[in-house]
Amino acid sequence: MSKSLPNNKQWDTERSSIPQSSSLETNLSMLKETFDVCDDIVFQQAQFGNQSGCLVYLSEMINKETLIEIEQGLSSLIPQNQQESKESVITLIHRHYPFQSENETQDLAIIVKKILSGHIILLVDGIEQVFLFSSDNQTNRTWTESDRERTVRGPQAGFSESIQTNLKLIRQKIQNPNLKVRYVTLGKQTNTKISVVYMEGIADEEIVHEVHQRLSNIDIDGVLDSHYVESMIKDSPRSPFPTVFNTARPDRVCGGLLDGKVAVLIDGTPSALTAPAMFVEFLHSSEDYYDTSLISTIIRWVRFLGLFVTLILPAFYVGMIMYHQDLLQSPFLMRIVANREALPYPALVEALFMLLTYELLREAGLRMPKIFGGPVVTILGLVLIGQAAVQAGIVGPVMAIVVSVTALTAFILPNYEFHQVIRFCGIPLLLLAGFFGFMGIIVGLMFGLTHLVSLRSFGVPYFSPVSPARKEGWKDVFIRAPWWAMETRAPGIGVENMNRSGENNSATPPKTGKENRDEENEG
Amino acid sequence: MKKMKANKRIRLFHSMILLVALLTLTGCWSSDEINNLSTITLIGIDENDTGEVEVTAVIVKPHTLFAETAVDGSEQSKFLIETTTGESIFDAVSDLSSTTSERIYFGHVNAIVFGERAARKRMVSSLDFFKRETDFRPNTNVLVARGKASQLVQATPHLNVTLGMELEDLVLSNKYSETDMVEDVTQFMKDLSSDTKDPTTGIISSAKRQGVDIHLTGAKNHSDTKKKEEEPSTNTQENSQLQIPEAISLKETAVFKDGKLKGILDERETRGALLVKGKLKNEVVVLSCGSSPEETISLNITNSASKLTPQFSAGAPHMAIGIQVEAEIGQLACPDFNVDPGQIDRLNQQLESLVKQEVTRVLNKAKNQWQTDIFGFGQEFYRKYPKEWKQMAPVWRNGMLKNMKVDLSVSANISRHGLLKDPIKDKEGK
Repeated sequence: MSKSLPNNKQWDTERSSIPQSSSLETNLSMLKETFDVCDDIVFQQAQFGNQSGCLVYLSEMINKETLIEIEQGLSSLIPQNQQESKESVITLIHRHYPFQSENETQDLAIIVKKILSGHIILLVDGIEQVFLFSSDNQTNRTWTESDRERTVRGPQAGFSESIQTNLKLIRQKIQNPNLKVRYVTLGKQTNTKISVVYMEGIADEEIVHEVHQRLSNIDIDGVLDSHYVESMIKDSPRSPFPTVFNTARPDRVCGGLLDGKVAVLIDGTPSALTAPAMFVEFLHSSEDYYDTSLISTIIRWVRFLGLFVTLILPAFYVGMIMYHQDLLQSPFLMRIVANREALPYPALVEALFMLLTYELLREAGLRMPKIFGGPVVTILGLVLIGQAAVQAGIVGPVMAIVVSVTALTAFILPNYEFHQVIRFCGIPLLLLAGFFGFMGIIVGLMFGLTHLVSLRSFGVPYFSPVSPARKEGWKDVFIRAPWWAMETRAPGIGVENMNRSGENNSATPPKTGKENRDEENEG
Repeated sequence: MKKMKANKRIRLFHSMILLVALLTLTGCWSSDEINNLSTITLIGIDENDTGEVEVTAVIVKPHTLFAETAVDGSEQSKFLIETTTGESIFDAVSDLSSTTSERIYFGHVNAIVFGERAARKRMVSSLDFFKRETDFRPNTNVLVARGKASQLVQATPHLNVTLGMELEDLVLSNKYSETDMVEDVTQFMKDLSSDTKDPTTGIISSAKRQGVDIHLTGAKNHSDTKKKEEEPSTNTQENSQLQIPEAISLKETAVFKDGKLKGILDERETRGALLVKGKLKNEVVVLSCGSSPEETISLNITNSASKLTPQFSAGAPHMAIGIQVEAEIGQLACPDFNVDPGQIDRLNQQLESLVKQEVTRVLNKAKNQWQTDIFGFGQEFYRKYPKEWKQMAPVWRNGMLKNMKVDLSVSANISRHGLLKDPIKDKEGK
């Protein structure tokens, strides 16, 4: 598939190897062309005697200590060997680095692969061979788990607060020179390092340009969190809905990059932004892609249900018992009436009271020092206070259930920002239900939907691929198609290269089983 | 520029205040807190001797329904039964609301029970109220009571929370009993206003009257509750000396003509009517299979189907009724009976003749005697011969139906015999 790429500029890993030239200039220009727009690659010119050489490496992928060792070794080589021939330089290097000089090669494709996997490359003028120094950045193996977006299966690594580590985590997953990295510095006082990452040939150049444009327009004294940048580059600044995706998982970012999205990493923040972001994306978890298609699809639908429960369950209940009692089953109606007979407040007030209590407890639990219990206090508090309020006759038992279920269901939404927005969208809907019944809920939802459909994220409609309908994208919206069926990338993001995989990725096992073959052998 | 921005902010602020005031200062239109409703589960309509309508409403007292939520823990009557009279149902209901502290709420009325007398006289005018009032569900069951509805309505529910739900379940459950004659308000109205079909509905009566004895364990306890239950009725109702039934049975069918109760089909006739409609399911029939009366074979009619074919022979309408009956052996009390094809064939013929007999009986009564079209014969003619029907319609119920010839063909098929094949045989007898 990838052989028929329209873009010739793109690096093809399967391209037939190009022999290395002996000229340092040619070699460097070839490498520079390959690693074009990669701000993290370093070409370190070195001059030893009349020999000129160059160290090439990706800054975040290598071990700094090894680099210093190599640098020191090379500089100690120089004075002794003023007039050496090519062969002696090679033997010198061999003698000097008996263990580290892992390999010598003349193949450009291998060299590029080695650079991407964290090797330091030494090119010497006039020598066709290239010296590879293994220098894996071991220190960064101690990644932290992402607490915000947890999965059972799949990579557990989460972003750290150092932009170098974060870049490395992405580079490790996508070892391709087409992964372009652009550094930008933002914040007049803080000078925060920001990098824009995207896949050349997959991401839409216009979106990349737009991201750069918006970043360069930012004039601020400090950037302390990714939200600073997010709020200034999102399309509709006044909308509560996030139109830039925020994740703490490198695998999620890589998935986005492969779909043609642009990622923005901010130094000092353990999360990355990806854009353009679709509404459905906020309902998808990384786990969806690591589970069986059938299971993921079911869980996705559970999540859609969770979205509606979070949004409208309290509103629905209040609307039902204040306006639409006809919809209840007779025994349920009698239960509710029996429970509510001696309650002093209308259902709407009760619901607001319970939700407010939950918000208070939640905020207290979040700000509380960890030693006092944190989230456990919130949940226990909600349950205990709910129970006590029911016994004291302030709140009906069904209302306590409804609010607890809503509060806990809200956590089904995988993205924290989205979770917060949806949670608070429930309150206006609750008020509408209390004042106008189901009619209020419907009108409220209609307004919400109208708003959502009108949003765009970097030119891409927020509700795509549902509206505007792009059927080829539905395989990753309502269902999660098996990986062998995910032949094309998510449409609408404006990618230049739609082919994700080949067409015959599902296994075709032989028709005859092993038992038949045995029989044949016997016969 | 700055001033404009400030102005805009003030405008926004004002409109926010207005919006909040608008929402909070006005009442919530049509809002009713659920606990401010007095839920009526059952309505009985009667006509008293002075010709006024008597409405008996069974109002649920929810906090007494569920023991754990009872307010003071002591055994209380679970329903408030109020009877009011008026010139019309609407009039009587308005009296009802003057004695109830909460809004009268009809949304959960499970059934409307008409007393026999009210059914004979006030059916159409009453239904008008039930269809006009917005609270009522369109699928509320319409039932006719043997005797006075006000007494039946006061029966204690045994298996459900309220009698209304018990009646509803009684209508829905049809294992070993025929209940398909019951119609809801919408269906009843439809049949009432159509000229091709006459409405029918089920009749409820006290179980004792139908030969079912109800034995309540803890009789003392029961009499206590019964006494209490009767108390409110003595306050509101004059004829308290009449017995409140212990249980209710649904067995017979009320047949209407011109919006009035015309007659009552008994259990066997109801069975016949259901056979004509092809709706009989799970009905037990007993055939004799020996010389002595104990030697019987009980069959369960598992399914039945009927085909009505309207025809014209020599200008006169003519109806061919084909009935297919599927049955299984439920109980065999003939030691000499062997389940083999020959015996089954004989049994099939016996069943066929029984079905024929029953159908003829109900046709005689409903078609010839009362001249009502409860089977929808007219509808079949209308469907097949719409042009001819226009001329038939005026005379349909005035003689034409009565004189219409009916061809009856029945085929019975006993296909299953349960887990046991041949009857259990006594060793000595063999």
